[in-house]
Amino acid sequence: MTDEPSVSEQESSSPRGRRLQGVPPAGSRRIGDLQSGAPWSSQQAVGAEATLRDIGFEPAGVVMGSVYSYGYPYRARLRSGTSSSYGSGSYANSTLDGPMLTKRSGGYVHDWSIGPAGQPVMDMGWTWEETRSQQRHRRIASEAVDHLVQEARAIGAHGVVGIQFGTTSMGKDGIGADVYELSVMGTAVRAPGVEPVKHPFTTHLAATDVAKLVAHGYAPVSFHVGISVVCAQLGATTRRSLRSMDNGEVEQYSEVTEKSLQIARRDLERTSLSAGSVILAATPLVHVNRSMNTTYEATVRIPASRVRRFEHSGVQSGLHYQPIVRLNEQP
Amino acid sequence: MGSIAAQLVSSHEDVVDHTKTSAGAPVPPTGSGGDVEASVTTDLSVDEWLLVDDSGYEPCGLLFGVAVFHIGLVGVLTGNGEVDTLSSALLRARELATGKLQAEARRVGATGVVGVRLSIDQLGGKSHLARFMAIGTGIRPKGAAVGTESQPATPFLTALSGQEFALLLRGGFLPVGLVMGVCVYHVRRLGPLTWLRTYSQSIEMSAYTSALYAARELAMVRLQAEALGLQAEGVVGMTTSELSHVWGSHVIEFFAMGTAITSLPDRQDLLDPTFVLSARDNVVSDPGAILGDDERTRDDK
Repeated sequence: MTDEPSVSEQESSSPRGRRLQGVPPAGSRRIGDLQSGAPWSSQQAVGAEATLRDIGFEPAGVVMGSVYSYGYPYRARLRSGTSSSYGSGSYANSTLDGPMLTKRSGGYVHDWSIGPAGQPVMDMGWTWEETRSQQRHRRIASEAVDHLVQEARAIGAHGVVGIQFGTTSMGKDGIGADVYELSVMGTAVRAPGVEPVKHPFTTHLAATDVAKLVAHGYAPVSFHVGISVVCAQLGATTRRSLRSMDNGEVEQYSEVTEKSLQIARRDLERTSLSAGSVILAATPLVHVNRSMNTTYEATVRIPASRVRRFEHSGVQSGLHYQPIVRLNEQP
Repeated sequence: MGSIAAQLVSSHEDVVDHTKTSAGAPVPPTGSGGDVEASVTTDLSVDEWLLVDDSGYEPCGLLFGVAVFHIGLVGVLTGNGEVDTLSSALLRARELATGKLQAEARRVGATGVVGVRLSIDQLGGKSHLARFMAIGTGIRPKGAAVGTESQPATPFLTALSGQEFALLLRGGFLPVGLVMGVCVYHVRRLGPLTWLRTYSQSIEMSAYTSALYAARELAMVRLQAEALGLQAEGVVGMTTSELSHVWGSHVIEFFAMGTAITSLPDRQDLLDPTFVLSARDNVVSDPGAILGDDERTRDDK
């Protein structure tokens, strides 16, 4: 691909001449325009805008990060990577591997144990922590967030609110590699007259919620995606219950999914920043992949924002930031 | 001191510099002994969280229960009647999922789980494999020590949101548990003669009426029985749904779910409705729904 050199050329010709790593030329141009006073954009609702200004922030522009990736399944045993071609929409260059399965499982394992955080746990052919596939998904998510933060920093923002997180699956290619795009997008906000910062705060909460938090003594810290991939080789009990003609739980499947959810939750919680802080999570996204009745893989992603205690001496306006109880709430 | 925003930004820098992380990147684990004041995950919205907090409860974790269920062979269906295999499968699977959720709640020392959502997913398009998930946030009274006698043996589950839970407490009620009723019913197909007799007329399909009526009543009476078992005073937030899942048009699941409640001993009526103007609208958070509505309206015209 001949894109690479032309990209750096275009990036260096952006108004401030600042190269944003991993951000496409058009993105750099857009950020450059924002730096030099182009109209800002915001994804927040009109009412929310008012609450944002009430706590002293103003919108700085919409920022995003996107990573397009593919990874081969373990069977192929191939090294794979994200394409470096801009044409296919890829802005990540890391080398990735498929999920790792080490041993065959002879039977069903009842005794689950999880090692200390970060340690691979292998138990009779089950490996559910730190598989390469999990590392890959985590890296992709944090790269996307990094790109978003980078864009925010470039336009002098102090924070990003209302981050929307999404993955778009492009299905599988000819040899079974899974292809997906992960993108995050949010509204960067700025506190006028305050020096630019190295680490803007990030949150998926909308501006209204941020104002409510501030009114109740909390402040957003950072946006994370808790990610876990648990893969298991089917045991004999599972095969039996799949062939059965009666009702019954497929315990291995249940436990793989549940473990995956728990690990994703722990992934969120172990990014411990300040003691006793609270993580406000969105609904977990669970994706299951069964291949040929031999493996069962559960991928879980939980987008979430950490908040911390924050006491301030400022005065918020007469707007009331009461949590709302609606009498017509749908259950 | 500067504006609130300035204070927020400067204190944020302190926090972040302290832990030396780059925003968004996961921090490497700090070691196994770091659970002194562990952080708590919750899927409550800000409104829900603040209201639950106001009512004297604190979240103690995002909790899950998962049951992947293999549904047995159903055989040939004729005539109106309940499909026992499917009824019992769908009930048992849901009970398994909520049971696991409850077990997790007990483990983390929760007195209850609010905002419980039940979801069903067919796995890989196979009709005999379904994943049942129950997700909610565990809560406990603030300041209560974990593992003391204040913790009930069976934490309550409720499908009510944090807002509704706060409202319920304010109204003097306490949830006691999630109650469900399930009935999967097969609705008889019309015979050729009946079809010939009726196809050109506008008449009631009495076979259908009685089948659907019976099935819905069966689901609701089962829910009622569960509520009775919990010694509940009533059931709030009851929903009924009719789901065909993957069975085509003649097999229907009737599913009723609600939260059984009981009144507190010192209950008084002190709810006063107030009017609010919300600064939030759903344009951003759910663009698909808005778009869908527009399309539908256009089609109708």
